[in-house]
Amino acid sequence: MDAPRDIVSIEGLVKRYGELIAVDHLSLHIQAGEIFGLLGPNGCGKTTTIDCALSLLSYDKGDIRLFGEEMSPTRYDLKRRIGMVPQEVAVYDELTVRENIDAFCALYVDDKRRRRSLVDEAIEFVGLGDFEKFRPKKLSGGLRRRLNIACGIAHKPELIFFDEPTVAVDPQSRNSILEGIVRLSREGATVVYTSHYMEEVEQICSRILIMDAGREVAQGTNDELKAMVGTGERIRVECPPPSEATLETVRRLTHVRKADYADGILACECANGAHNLADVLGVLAEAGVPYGRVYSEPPTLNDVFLEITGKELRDESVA
Amino acid sequence: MATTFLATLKSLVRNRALLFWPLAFPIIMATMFGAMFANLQSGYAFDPFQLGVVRDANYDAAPGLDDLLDELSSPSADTQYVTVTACDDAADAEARVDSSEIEGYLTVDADGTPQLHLSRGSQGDDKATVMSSILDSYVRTVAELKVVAAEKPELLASPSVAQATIEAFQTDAVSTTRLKLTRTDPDPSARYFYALLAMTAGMVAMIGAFAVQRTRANASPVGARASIAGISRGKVLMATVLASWLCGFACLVVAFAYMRIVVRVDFGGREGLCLVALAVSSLLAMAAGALVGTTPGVKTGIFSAISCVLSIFTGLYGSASQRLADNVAASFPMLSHLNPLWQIAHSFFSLLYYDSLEPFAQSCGALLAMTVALVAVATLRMRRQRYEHL
Repeated sequence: MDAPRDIVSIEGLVKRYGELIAVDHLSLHIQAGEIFGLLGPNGCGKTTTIDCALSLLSYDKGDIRLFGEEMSPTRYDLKRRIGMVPQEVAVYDELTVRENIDAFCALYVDDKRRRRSLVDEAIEFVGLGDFEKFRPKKLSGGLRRRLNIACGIAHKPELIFFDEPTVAVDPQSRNSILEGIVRLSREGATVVYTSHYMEEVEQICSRILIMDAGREVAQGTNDELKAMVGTGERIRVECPPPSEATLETVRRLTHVRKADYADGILACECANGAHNLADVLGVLAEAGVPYGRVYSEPPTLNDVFLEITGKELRDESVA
Repeated sequence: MATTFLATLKSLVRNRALLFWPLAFPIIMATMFGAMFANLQSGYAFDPFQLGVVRDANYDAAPGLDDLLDELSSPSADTQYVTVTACDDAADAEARVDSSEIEGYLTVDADGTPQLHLSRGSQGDDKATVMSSILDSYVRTVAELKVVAAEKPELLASPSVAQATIEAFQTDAVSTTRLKLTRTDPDPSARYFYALLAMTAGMVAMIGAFAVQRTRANASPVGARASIAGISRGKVLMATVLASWLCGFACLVVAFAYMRIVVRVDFGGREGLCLVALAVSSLLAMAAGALVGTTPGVKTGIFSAISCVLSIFTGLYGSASQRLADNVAASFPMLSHLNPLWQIAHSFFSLLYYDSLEPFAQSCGALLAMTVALVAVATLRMRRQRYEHL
């Protein structure tokens, strides 16, 4: 069996802005067909990493290879195989939807006839068929984002970088965008997806690299990342106040790391274990504590981030 | 590249905010100038004096007077000084003066001396003064010829000798000779329009700056997208600059056509060469735009400020500005020559006033030299540019 082929290979990337180290010895390898998530708080270096990979930015140290070849600003042969959907909507406000997609597709595809069919496909893919003749300013935020995507993928690239494509997008458009990305991956494209929304990354990415302050915090599949941390699940039980002895019994359960009662809810933080919920409910039943609704939440990437860095991933002030 | 060119062109042409200064502004200003200078032009035009002539026996006997009036009233002459209305007698002439049909009338005394009678309204009027001077000159010449006839009759012996003598008198009588130094008559209002076209060229640079800025990865998201494109940045840049040059040139041509056709500004009948001047001017504007477009943090609006300042030295803002511009051009010619807007305005002057095309070529050459210098600096900047941004 052939070894998986690296479409993107970054080794020891360092990018400095004066005293500030934006990317600090970052390494990652992305294989063909993957949806690779770059997750981290705003300002952690995700976009800088992508810009370096695309040779939009020079870098101080490291090695970047795309499709197994060294990337440079003049590697137009490589660039023709890449698509980019930037964080900001990057379109001409004065051109219509179709004209915009055609203009950006023309940067990769010369043949007019082929381009026409590619533009048609891209319009259909993002569902902008009814808005072909609209100018971007007439479109809603979600539709503009879809146009932004169409402009980046119309030439059918093998590798697509999505840089926070769902920022300021309504839930319906967000779902549509995420579904589209999964569809592109199924059609054979390799996707690099950056976001600070952990739910999105969890939902669509096959492998994830969590970044903080330019450094790699953790890397692996969703399950691998969650397995790295002690938190297994969070259990919340609606019940009347248990006695201190009952609470202490819950705390002494093998996988329970923390248990507290407040506002009518018994909250337990458990390590990985097979019967955590049954064990907790068993203690309550034995003590004769009646309970109502019961919630069991698996660990999130935020838990992973929190446990490794001591910070909340959602905290926007983290930079 | 063709699609990038077309896309850029379309996006520029459809950008109303961008095109206000290079397109709408000169048309608005040219309309205002046209309205202002329409009165100025009529002030410079000589309005013929409406002269009544009592054609009696004395008039018929006055030597050469009828010929003189024919000459002065000829519509085909450079300037038509009078319109002649024949009157039966003085009473008829007075009646016509009273009805404002004529501004004065001419009678001839029994001794052959012409008398100019002016209406109250025309006394002290420039046209009446000119008419009086002409008649004074006529009286003087006739008197001198009478002296010649009395003292040297041989000078009037035959028609050919007499003609030569009369011509000699006429020549002596003219103390100044009018020489035409320029191809066309000076048009004081033309200066304003040429300065306005030059200012428009300055504004056109905004188009270049805007378009070039949009190709820079660190200045616009569209630029970032174009920078990872499968074709070279040079090609994208070339298509962008060409499209913005065409757009800028079109703006100048529209302004020029409006001035020429609607406002009827005189360009000396060399409209084809004016288009050459406009093409060169828009090239320079694009070069300046490209330079600013490659400079981080500089807004395209800087060109309206620069154009406004440089236009002081082209005389756009009235007579005080024109005096200042002329003084600077006389005392520090290098300063004027280094002002691209002055060179643009001067290229139009050269076409209007000079027979030779050399001054025009010199202005165009200076503009092209500035273009080359600006393009060189812009290219260096673009090559050195790193797209550093977080």
